[in-house]
Amino acid sequence: MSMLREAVVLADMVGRWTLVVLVMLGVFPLATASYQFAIIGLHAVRNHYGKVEPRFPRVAILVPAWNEAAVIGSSIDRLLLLDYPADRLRIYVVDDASTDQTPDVVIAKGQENPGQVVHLRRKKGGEGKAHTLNHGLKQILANDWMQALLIMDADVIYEPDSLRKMTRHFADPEVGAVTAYIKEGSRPANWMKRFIAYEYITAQAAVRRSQNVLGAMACLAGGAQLHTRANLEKIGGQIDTSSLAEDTFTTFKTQLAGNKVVFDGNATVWAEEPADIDGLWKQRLRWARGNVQVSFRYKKLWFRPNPGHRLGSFSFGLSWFCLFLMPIFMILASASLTALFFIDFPLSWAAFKLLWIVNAICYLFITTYTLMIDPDTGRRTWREAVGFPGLISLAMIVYAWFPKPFSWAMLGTMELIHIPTTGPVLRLVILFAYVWLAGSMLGAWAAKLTESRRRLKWLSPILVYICGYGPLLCAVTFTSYIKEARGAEMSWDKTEKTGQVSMP
Amino acid sequence: MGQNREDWSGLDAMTSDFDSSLADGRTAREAHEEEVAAVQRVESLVPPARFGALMVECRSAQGQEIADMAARSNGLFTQNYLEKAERGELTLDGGLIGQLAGLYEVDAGPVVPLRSELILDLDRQELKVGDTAMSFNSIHVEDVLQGYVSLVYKLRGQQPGSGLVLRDRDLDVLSASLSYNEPELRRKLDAMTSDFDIRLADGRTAREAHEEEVAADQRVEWGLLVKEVIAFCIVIALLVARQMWFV
Repeated sequence: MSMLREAVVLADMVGRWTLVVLVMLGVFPLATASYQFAIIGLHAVRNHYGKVEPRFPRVAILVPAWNEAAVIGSSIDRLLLLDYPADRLRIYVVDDASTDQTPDVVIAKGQENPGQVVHLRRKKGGEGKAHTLNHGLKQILANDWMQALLIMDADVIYEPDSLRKMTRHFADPEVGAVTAYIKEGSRPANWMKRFIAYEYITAQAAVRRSQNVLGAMACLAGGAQLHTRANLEKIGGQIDTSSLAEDTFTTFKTQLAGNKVVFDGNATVWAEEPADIDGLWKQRLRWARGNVQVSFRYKKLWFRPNPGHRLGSFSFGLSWFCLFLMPIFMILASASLTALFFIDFPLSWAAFKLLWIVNAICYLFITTYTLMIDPDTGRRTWREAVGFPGLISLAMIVYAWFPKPFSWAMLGTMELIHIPTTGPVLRLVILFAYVWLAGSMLGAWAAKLTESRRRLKWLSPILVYICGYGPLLCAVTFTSYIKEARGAEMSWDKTEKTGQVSMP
Repeated sequence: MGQNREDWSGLDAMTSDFDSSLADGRTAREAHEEEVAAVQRVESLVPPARFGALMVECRSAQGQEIADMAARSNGLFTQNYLEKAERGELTLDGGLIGQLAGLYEVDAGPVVPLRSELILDLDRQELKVGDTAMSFNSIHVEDVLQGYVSLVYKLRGQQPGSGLVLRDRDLDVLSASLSYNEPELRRKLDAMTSDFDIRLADGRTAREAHEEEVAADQRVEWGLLVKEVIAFCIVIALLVARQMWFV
């Protein structure tokens, strides 16, 4: 009998501590991100600048375009102004069966710049960017002129020195592809674009530098990927059309072929990003579904070190899956906290405080560092940086940092507005805080829903600031799991461009 | 070929007496023919623009004007002729290159040194001279040539982008192995080695811009390290403050 009791006690203890471990999974994404940020400093000594030399290969610029009449003319003009030998630059616009004036604009530019601007037209369009790129790629590879290929988007603006800052890395014969720092460049930038601008400092300027240090790159930016001809030929001379993440597949294939992929954070490219939740949702859902596809396609690669590349390294796998599985971690942490709330409240409270103090430390480090990495963008987006996790999560972070003052302030406010500060009410507040990690994703999803209602549209940005931009991205990732599990159709929704982007 | 003006005057004197015996036992005629042959081997590989750039480099290093060089040649070259040579507008034969190299004190030593044969292994994607090897990305001609140029700079200990005169024998090897005709090969190599002299929009050469930009970019990266330390210090300071006053 006593043995049974002991077994029950043991099982109970194991169960409780298992829940604590699951709560601590909620720390993983931010802790891993902090690790990535921590190694950025090593980029000062572990970068590729020691191997660069001036290189001016003949570059074919491949611009996929579908109904880009509003922006394609100025894009071509800007490309012609790149600080790069004109005789080594050709622009190939692949018109994906546009129904607007795109062909006329491109043909006119071709006549103005004979031999430098080439119009290629697909008769059947709408199959996605990869198909469009392949159409151009096939023709470009058919002759020997091209030595390097730059894949970009029609609306993207390259700073004059950015292309040659990218080509200089080809002095190292091991480099197969180079990508640049893409910045959100819409003027004026609304709240959503500011969130994206801040996000891009973290996801590109910061994380890609850390990936340079690790020697494994997750993704070449779709609007700025420069390949050597040899690399393109090595990976089959085609872009993957079977997924929604053609850029990531190209990046992985390049590295699996034994070539390096380098990020140059000092080569800057400006792009226009979505202005509302709907646009962001479509874009990110495509990316997230692509990441699910990549995760499964390369299932034998993860956490298996290989002398030929670094994609199988533990650190790269960790950073990949912490991002990929973030919604699951958040749901598990919330569910475990809630379970502990009813089973063992003191333990749940201790786990909650530990979870949030770690997250608060990581948040502070990442946010302050990110704002310093790109101070110009940081000045424009500091509010979005602070509000990235959402105001409610931010309140928990503040509590984690300053428990005493926060408690006084909160209780004082509750008394002021006549909310009882008795045990049951406080326990309800605490339960809400436990559920919030997962609940914030629901809130972000609600923001998407309100945006599509004409009368409630005003509410959607407020909901994003309250629930957080990060949870919004998590909600997209979670939706991608469902879409992939259901085998939903892969549609390529083009991000709407207005031509607002400009260099400061 | 790396002699100064006085040395070249000496050579002129020697050629006037073909049968004089030299210290190494060769006759002056034999020595002269070997020198000319060597110069011609080099000449066939010297792109006029490249040689012109080398002339400008040497003259500038001496702080001389073209008129000074014309005067120094004792009437052998006019100022106009030297200007054209420096601009790479003249097709120069071996003898002229030798004379100009002597006049300008172009040091050919590091440009065309004696060394082992070039070995090109396409299967292993490797170029080798003696114990020095250089791998290349693919067997595509551009990649092989890029690897070759890098190898030559490495062997000669020259700054990438500095004047480079290539060896006939190397070109024979490359041409035969890659099944590529020699003039085309030379054109490609010339284009590769001349990337450094390309003028950018602001008038700087690619080399000048490159050096400045790499230094600036490297400063940015060091700056990020400093900023990281600052961010880290902020976190630590706040943690200490939290433990002391806010818990």
